[in-house]
Amino acid sequence: MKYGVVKLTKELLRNAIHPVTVNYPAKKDLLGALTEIADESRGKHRFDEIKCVGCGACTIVCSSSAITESDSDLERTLSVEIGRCIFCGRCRDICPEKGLELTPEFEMSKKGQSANDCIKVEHSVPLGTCDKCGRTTFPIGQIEAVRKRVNEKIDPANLVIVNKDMEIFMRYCPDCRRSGSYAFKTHPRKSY
Amino acid sequence: MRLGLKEKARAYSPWIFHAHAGGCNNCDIELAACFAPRFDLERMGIQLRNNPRHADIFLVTGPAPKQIAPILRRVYDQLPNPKVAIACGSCAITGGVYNRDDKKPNYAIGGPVEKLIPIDVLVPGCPPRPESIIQGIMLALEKLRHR
Amino acid sequence: MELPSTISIASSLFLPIVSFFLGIIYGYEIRKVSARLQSRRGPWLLVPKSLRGTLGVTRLFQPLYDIIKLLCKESLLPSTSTKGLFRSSPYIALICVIVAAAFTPVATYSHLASFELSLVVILYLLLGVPFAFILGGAASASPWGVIGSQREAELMLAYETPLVIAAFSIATMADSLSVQKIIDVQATRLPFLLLNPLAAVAFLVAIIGKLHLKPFDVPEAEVEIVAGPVTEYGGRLLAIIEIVKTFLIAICVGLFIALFLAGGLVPGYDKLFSIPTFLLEGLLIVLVMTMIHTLNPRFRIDQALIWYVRVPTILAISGLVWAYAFRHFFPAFI
Ligand code: SF4
Ligand code: SF4
Ligand code: SF4
Repeated sequence: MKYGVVKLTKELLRNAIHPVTVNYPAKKDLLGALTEIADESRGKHRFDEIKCVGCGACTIVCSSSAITESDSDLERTLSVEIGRCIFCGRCRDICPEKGLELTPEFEMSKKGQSANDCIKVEHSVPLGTCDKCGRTTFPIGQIEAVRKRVNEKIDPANLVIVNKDMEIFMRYCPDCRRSGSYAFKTHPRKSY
Repeated sequence: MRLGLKEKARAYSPWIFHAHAGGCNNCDIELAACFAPRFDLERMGIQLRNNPRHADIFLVTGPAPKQIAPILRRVYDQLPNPKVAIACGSCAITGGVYNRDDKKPNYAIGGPVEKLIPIDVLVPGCPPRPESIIQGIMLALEKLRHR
Repeated sequence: MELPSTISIASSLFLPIVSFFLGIIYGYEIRKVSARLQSRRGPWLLVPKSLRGTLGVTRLFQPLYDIIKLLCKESLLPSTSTKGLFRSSPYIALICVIVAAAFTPVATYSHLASFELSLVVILYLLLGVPFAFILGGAASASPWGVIGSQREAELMLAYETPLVIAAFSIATMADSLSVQKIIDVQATRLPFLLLNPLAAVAFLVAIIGKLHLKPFDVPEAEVEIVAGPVTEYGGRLLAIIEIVKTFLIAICVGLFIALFLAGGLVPGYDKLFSIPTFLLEGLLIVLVMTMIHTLNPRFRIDQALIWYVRVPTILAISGLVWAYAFRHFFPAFI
């Protein structure tokens, strides 16, 4: 027991010489990035302006429904309510286009009385319109992404005909497609 | 703006009272880390007091379940003026994972903390990093000075 | 003793202020050193530039800021308390401690210390502080306050015995109950720390109990009973209690230096030279107490009681026996 006290005293003196406290305000390198931060630390969201196509997969998978999408006439807005997000990273994992990432930025505190004052990350993508009825349909980027993916995966024998179908199909809203599919000559029975 | 000694002293020695209102205990661990050697908050003269009567800053973690809600209000009233309240963690701000939809609120939750007491600073994160909590406290000090 | 002159009155009014600032420095040292020993940084001596707008330039006067802040706060009175007693007990402690500070020499300078019974007066006044805390805690009618008061009372019984016996063994060796006389006796010879180390150790341990530092902070055990007797205090009344604690550190350390280290006097040097030595010795004693504070976990109240009876009381009694033996065998030395 007596030896324990001696050992402890030694430890105390060692502690006194080497404090482990990190600096506050946190140390940053020349580019302004934090140096003392863990790898893959999940912080504030960032949408990639080009890659995100506005498909809305992230809003469905979000654990706490922090990401919401809202459509206006011309564009679809995805907004992350940071005050609700739990930084689980599922939105990033599910995103088919890798259009969303979690930056290591964590200093998000704000003065404010209610959750509405909390910071929000927003991103908007343009929406296309239906050629027949003029309603807004899908984000333009999403249509392109679907086209690209179908082209990649499809059997080359069918490539030409499917492409021809898609060319027409993608221009209409779901209702118009259903009602006018025979007239558009894209009805599946036509292929027989 | 010039500040009197009174306003300065207020920001120089804030004492924190930590109210645990439900939640998953993770924010509480991060707050404990704030007072541990790595993110030592005593550098700024801040002390953790387990006593509402001694404290200036009321730091709430957790979504405030129905059973805690009235007690949270009562403890807040036990802090002598001037005081500020910090909502720490996503569930203190909106309910977080416990409250997915504001239109269909969770049956067990007495509301996010803002419904029960006036909140001054919001610290999002689940859990917030200790630096984030420190930043929140620094913002709270600016408010505390002018109370 | 001569009639009080203007100088002596002025100096006895001035001494408590000096004691208070010493207490603030000691209080800062306790916080800083215990932080460093736990490999933290402790209150900044120099605040980083980007935070100076909010936090000021230095934290050296941290205990002072705490007190000012508390003085400007609203005080809440618990509805179940005995209001008169609850409100007045911090002031009783404050008066005790201010008068005691006027009697305690700071670096051999004190006019009241030359009063024949000044040691007895100081010891009695210091007894008033825990007494007021006990009253205040009991009057707050909170369970934590009452438990804290009870623990404070038990601990007081435990540490007061070695404190008084150790002080009186020194009085026996110096053949006087006047603090000034005790200092003067030491100035011509060795300090009593070397002549009677048993009493010195007992006195130091008793001081640690009195200041509620770590192994003996039973009455204020913050994780068991919220803050002990001061649980229900807040705002201005708590500020008074913090002031009392600040004074108490300075008085206890000052008394230790006066009794065992000749009040900072070094034989062969001028009286003025005692001021830096006094400061140095004070910081050193606080350092030792802080090491003990950081190194030890808290005693349970019964363990603290038994330990106080077993170690410091025995030490103090052997110090008293040693003092008598010393007087008997070296009468020329006295
Ligand atoms: S592309 Fe990714 S980030 Fe954009 S809406 Fe779809 S899932 Fe969300
Ligand atoms: S990180 Fe998790 S909680 Fe936050 S927006 Fe993404 S899925 Fe939702
Ligand atoms: S905000 Fe997240 S980490 Fe904090 S208590 Fe709530 S669920 Fe736990």
